[in-house]
Amino acid sequence: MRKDFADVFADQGEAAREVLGHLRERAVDALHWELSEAPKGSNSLGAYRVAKERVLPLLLKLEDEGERDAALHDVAAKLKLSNKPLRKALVAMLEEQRGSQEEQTEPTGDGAPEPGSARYERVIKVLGDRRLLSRAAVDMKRLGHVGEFAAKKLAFICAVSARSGKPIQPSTHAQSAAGKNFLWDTALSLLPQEMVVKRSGLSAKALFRTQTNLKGAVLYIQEVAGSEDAEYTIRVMQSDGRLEYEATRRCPMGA
Amino acid sequence: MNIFETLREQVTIGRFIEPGSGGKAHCVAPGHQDNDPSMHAYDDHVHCFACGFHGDVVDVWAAQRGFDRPIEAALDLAREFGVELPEAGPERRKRARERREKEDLYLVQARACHGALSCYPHVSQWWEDRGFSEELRERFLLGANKDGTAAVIPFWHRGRVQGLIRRKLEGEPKYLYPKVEEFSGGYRPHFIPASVSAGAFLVEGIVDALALAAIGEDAIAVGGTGMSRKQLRELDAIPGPLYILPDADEDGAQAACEWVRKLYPKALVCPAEYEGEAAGA
Repeated sequence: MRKDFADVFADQGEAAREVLGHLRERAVDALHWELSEAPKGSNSLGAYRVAKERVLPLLLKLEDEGERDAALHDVAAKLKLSNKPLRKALVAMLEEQRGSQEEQTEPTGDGAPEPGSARYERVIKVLGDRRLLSRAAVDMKRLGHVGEFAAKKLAFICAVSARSGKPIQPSTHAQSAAGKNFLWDTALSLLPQEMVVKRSGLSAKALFRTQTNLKGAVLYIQEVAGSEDAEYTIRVMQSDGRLEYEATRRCPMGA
Repeated sequence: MNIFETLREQVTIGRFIEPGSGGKAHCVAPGHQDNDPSMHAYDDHVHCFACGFHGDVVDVWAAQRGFDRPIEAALDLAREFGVELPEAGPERRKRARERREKEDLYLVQARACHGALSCYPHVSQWWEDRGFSEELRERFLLGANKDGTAAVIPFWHRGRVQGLIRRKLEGEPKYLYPKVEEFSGGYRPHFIPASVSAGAFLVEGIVDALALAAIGEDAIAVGGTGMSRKQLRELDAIPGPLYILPDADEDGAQAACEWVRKLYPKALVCPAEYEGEAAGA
């Protein structure tokens, strides 16, 4: 009994090419395969389930909208189903797919280097440098910060921890004109500009309503004075790492 | 894709080797006075049936231009044909060089295993019974292990040997693959015994792929029913259509169903009908 093409070749040698031609002519794609396996007759519920679970996910892979539309018509006709619910289910799947694709592409948007690239290798080299913190502190000194090296290193660690998923959330206390702001301005100047969200103060609901993406970013509030109303939201965000806020909204008709 | 893979992809051997009648050209191996052309040029590699020289586009260029180090030959070839090479720091180049050295070592081992066939006629007969004549055994460097208990198949991937597969003549498991870390690229690629282009066949078994290549078809073997993400990405990069030839058993049908879905709309699945009218045609 022949189990695979190797068996055909063993029996027929070069003549196996002809067999191959016959098999290739009868090849079908996944859509045809699934439709041929779907329940036939009056089982509409069964057909709809097969369409939703097995067939529509395939249509999501078609990039051309027209092609997808034509395939959907064929599916509806073959399974003897109405076009409308299938289209509705497909649209919902497409939206879900777009949502998850956006989520997946987010990390690459943060500029993380692709493993294997020359940039990745440079990054690994930098991260493997035992004197990395000292180098950062020296750079801060070059930028004009004259304070203690320990404070420089600590500020730098706090700043880069924003990308760790468990960020360090420091508050700085010192006399007026002691250089608190300058320490942070210098440390944060070593980070990419888009990673730092700098605010002089915040209103109570500002963090709920902001359009700024704070994921992996440093939220730098320069003064507590003037942000007291936001104290609650800041604390929640510090402890939970996220904010959930439900609000009512007036619609244009005034209802 | 490293520098050598990029060149294999972008420069065909046919651009500087012109085979005569019968698809054979004069061998480029240094020291081989090949008056009667004996080097067969395939799409992505050459094989000399007289001296056993085997190589890809970079090896041929190195042999023709007298380069000792493959990396120098690769850079020169890229300059000559205006190929833009991927950005590569010293570390990456070192890895590419080490990988190539590993492949060269596997090629030497594959030759030795092929040579061992002369000591084990029953293994040669096993290949013969599978349809692999002496010429095919030489072309694919099919061989025997050191005690004659297994057939040995070089793990071909686009003209280069990535490791050695042992196919036990008796007992289970039939196939013994190299461990993942033993592969030159650090992962198990697809088994590709010749070049691949649109219309290639995708099969489970290594010997299926060899059989397809033997009759001049492009073939890719997964080496089982499970396909890794890297393998799937590799298939995504190959232009369609891909024809899946499943094994005629339950596992084969399941694997084919999974592959044809994952590779939709590029892949098509053929019926697993190797008996009967069609197979006997």
